[in-house]
Amino acid sequence: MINISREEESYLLVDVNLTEANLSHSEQFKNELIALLNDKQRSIWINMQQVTYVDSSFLGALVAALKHAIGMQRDVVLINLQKDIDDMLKLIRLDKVFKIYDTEQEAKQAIA
Amino acid sequence: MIATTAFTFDNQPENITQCSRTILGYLEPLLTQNGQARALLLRAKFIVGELLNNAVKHSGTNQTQIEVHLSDKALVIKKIDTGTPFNLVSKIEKQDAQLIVSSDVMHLLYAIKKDENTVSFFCKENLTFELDVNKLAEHLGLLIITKAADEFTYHYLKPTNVFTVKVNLGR
Repeated sequence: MINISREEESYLLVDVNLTEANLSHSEQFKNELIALLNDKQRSIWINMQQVTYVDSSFLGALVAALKHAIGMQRDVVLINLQKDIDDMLKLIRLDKVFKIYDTEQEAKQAIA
Repeated sequence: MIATTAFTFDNQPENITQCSRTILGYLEPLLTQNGQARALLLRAKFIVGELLNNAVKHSGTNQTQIEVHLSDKALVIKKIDTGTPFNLVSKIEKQDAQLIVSSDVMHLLYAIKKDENTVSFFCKENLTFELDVNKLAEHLGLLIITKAADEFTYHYLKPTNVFTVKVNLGR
């Protein structure tokens, strides 16, 4: 479900291999993200390019992973959101919680 | 224009995507005919997805009916089952009394009793919050429906649960 695209010194760039990210995937997604945070001890930048829909359970999994990351003084960053996903995040104001960027390059410029 | 159709969902998580696609596939040409914008279909997508999630997680049955009713004025989506009742109706005793259903640093979600068998959901945003990630809610389904809808109610008359979600056309 989550593929590591690249490992940088301060972050891990991962791809989400789902189009519809919903209840049937959320628990596994959360567990994989938290395992990666624990294993790699660095922030995770999630490339969401393939994802066309997210539901509340998947967003809950992202929030749970963010809490875990913040507890480790790391972060969960969202990259390359499709418009519907961006609209969902704005609807429930999670755009004020996650760092969101159009591209990895943009994220690097903002965060690095 | 008036169109009404019912869909049956088996409450299996692996079938959420297919059921949602079927319902939205039915709605898309109707909303397009009706001259409605992408935003309306997106709101319907959020609502249908969360109603199906709710069915899987909370209904306690193996069958849910989703009714879709489109008129010139509104899109109404109902989730109907005879499973476990949501205890809000019994928990709020007096008409017009309110109860906080969920809260976090950004939102307060309330239910208000409309009549003996019905509650209505509404949400208040905390516009001056200081972000504390640990105080964020992880259960967001009712909040998403409330914010995507113009009206969202729950009605229980033994043995039937009905969630009704209304989206006004032309908002």
